[in-house]
Amino acid sequence: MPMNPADRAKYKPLYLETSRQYIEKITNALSMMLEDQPNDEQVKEIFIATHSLAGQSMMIGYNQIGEYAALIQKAVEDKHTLDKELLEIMERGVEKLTTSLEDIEMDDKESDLSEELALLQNKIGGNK
Amino acid sequence: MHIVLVEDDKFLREFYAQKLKEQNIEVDVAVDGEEGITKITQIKPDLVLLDLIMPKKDGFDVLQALSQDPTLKQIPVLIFSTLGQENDVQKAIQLGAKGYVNKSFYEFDKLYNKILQLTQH
Repeated sequence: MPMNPADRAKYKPLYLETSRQYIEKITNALSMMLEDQPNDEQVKEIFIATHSLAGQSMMIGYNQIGEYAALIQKAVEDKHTLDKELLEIMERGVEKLTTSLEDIEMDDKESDLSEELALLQNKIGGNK
Repeated sequence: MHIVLVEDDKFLREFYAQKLKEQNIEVDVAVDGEEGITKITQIKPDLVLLDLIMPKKDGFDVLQALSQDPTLKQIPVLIFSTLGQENDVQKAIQLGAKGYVNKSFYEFDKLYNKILQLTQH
C-alpha cells in the first residue's frame, strides 16, 4: 500500500533531497570502480546508499526507482562479479534515476525504467 | 511510551518519527548503530525500532550490544526491514529481535499495532 497523497505531497521534497544525495554517492562510487578495481569501501558505500534509496522509494510509492536501487544492491553483494560492462550498465541506469527524480519533481510521476530494469536483471543473472 | 528509532535514512527517520509522535509516543532518533547504542543505553526506552543496514555499527552490532548488557537485553527490538532481507531478519531474530515490519510498505497501522503488542505487559 503506497503512502497516502497528503503525506506523499508533504514528504516529497525530503524524498527528492535525500534520493539525490544517495544517487550522487552511488554515481561517485561507480565512477571510482570504473577507474580502478572495486574495493570493499566502495561496495559498502553503494550497498548502504542503494538499500536506503530502495526502502524510501518503495515506501513513498516510486516503485521502479526502488526496484532498480534494490537490483544494484544485489549486484554489488559480490564485488568479484563487478565487471566493466556491469558497472557501465549501472552507471547509465543511475543517470536515468536522476532523470526520473526530475520527472517526479515536475509531474509526480517516475520515468519508465522497465528497459533499465530488464538490462540490469539480465546482466546480473548472466554474471552468476 | 518512549521509543528509540535507529535509522540512517533521513527520509524514513523523519517520516516515522513524526508519525509516531502523532500517536503521542516520545521518539528519540539515532542515525547509525553507534549512536543507537549510546541513546538506548542512556534512555532505556520501552522499545527500539532498528534498521539493519547502516554505516558505522549496523543493526546486528546493536543487537549484540543489547544482548550483552543485562540492563538492556529486555528492551524489545522491532526490526525495520526491506524486501529481500528475509535472511537478515532471521539472523536478527536469532540475535534477540522480537519481530519486524517491512518499511518498504506504508503500513503504519501494522507498525503501531506491533509496537503496542510488544510494549504492553
